[in-house]
Amino acid sequence: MPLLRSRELAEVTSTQLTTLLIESVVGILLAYQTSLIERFPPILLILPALLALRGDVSGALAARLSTGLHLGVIRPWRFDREVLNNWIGAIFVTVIMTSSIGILAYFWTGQQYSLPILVAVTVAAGLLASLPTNLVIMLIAMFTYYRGINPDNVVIPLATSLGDIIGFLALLATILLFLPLL
Amino acid sequence: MSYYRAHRIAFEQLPFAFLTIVIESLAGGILYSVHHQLTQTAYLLFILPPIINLAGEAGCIYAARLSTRLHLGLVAPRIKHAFHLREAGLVTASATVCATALVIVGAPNFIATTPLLILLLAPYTAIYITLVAMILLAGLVSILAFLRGLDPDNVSIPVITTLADLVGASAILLTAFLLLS
Repeated sequence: MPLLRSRELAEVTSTQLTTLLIESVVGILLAYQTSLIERFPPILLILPALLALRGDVSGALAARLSTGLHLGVIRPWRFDREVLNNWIGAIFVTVIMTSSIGILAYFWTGQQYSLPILVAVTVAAGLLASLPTNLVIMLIAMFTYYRGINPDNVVIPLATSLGDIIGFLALLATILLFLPLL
Repeated sequence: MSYYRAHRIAFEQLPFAFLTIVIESLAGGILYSVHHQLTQTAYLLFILPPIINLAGEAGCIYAARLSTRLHLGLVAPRIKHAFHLREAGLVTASATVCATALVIVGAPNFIATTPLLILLLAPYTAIYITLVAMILLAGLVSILAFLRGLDPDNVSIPVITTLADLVGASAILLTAFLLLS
């Protein structure tokens, strides 16, 4: 048996290259913010946790919406109580967890920064990222299901990649907003 | 009565989400500790998100393929089989293509501000450090899970995705240490 099969290599490489290019966009955005990082280094501390949380919450929301659509509990283009409860659940987790990220950052930085401001930055960034990401996920889940495509195969990978870009932009915007107070 | 309840969604998700942010904060802490080096060499900031992403993907691919081979009986569940040359070769070859793509994408943006040696070597160094760690982690977790009668798919993937950022951040730290010193 050959050490590497070209078909397997092509399958693995094409998937990895696609996500690599999406992450490169985040990388370029990050690399052009050196002056902002110098002014507020905790951005590097907050970023991994915020992006991971974004992926967790949005990924779970995408999976629940997909299951709900398959079960018939959620119907395409019907924004009822089931959809609302999913949104409230996701927002609640976001608020609690982003507050925790702010508190962890406060202790990690040796209490150099104001706790209320760190928590305000992380919560605001989390909410700012949540709203557009969750809206896009919901619309794509409903659209794919409506068109006969299984949302499970489309929405979760999209949720995590999209969550990274939107999450980073939201954190950037929030820090710029709070910069005079930092 | 609603099928989905907001408080149930929140209470079921919170413990796992909290574990995630504690581990991710460790990854963030590593980056925070080298923020001077990272801001001086913005190219390292550029490769950071792709490297972290690649760490998770390479580990998951290696673990998932090893798990399938364990279930099919194609490989014996022994620690010495945690490292499999063919499987490691597949993820390494793919990661090498990705490292080259990073150099190609990064060069036009950072050639003016980054020494050529770092421009060429940083993605490969960070990716290979990441790969060694992720392959060993994925292999050991999969074999140990299988030996304990657990399905490696259910154990190794969550462990790897949680630890990938920590491994990726450590790889950037090591790369900065090796290339910038």
